[in-house]
Amino acid sequence: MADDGAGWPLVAHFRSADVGWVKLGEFDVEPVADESIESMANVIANTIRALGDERRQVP
Amino acid sequence: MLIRLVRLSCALMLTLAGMVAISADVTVAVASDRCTGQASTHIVEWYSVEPPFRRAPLRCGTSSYGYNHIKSRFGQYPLFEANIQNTLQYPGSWTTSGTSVTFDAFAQGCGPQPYFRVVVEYANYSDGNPKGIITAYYSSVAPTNAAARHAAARLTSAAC
Repeated sequence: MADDGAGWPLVAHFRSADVGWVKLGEFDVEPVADESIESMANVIANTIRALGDERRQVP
Repeated sequence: MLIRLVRLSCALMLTLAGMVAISADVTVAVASDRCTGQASTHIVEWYSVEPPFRRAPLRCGTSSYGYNHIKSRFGQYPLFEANIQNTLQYPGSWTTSGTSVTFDAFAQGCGPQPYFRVVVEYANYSDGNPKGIITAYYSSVAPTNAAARHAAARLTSAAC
């Protein structure tokens, strides 16, 4: 896997109990306006929560 | 022989006409995908939202949010765009979770569930506009506002 030169992967994968395996890049976190880790994490969490609710209602 | 030739050429023309029609349909179908060749952040549509909320964009998005997500999961249902607009403009209820808001309303038309839900992320992208609509789908969760429920129920019965 490609990395940023410091050993960190450029594309991260992680698992959500609701959605399954997801690719970090799928959430478009880079363009969040203030680019803070907290904002990006919140946007990802909100998106995963919305998808989890959706999957529970529409399998 | 001449008649046969004429009939044959007519049949060929009809066939060609049919092929042209088919290829025209295909072209229309491809053109109707509003995100072909567009960046994920491209805004397809703006939707008015009941105050105090700001209007919400529908971006092309990815398989996880926006137009591409909604179309791949629910593109087969008619009146989907009308339901997004109706739910955002006349929600029966909404719940906030940080910077995201979930809107619920009665569905218009005949869908697999009686209600409709739209989730909007209001955190701004670098273009200064919200990330926008994450997803929208027919839901089993009833809105809690009785007046909105009554008005939407009339719309539903009229459309069905």
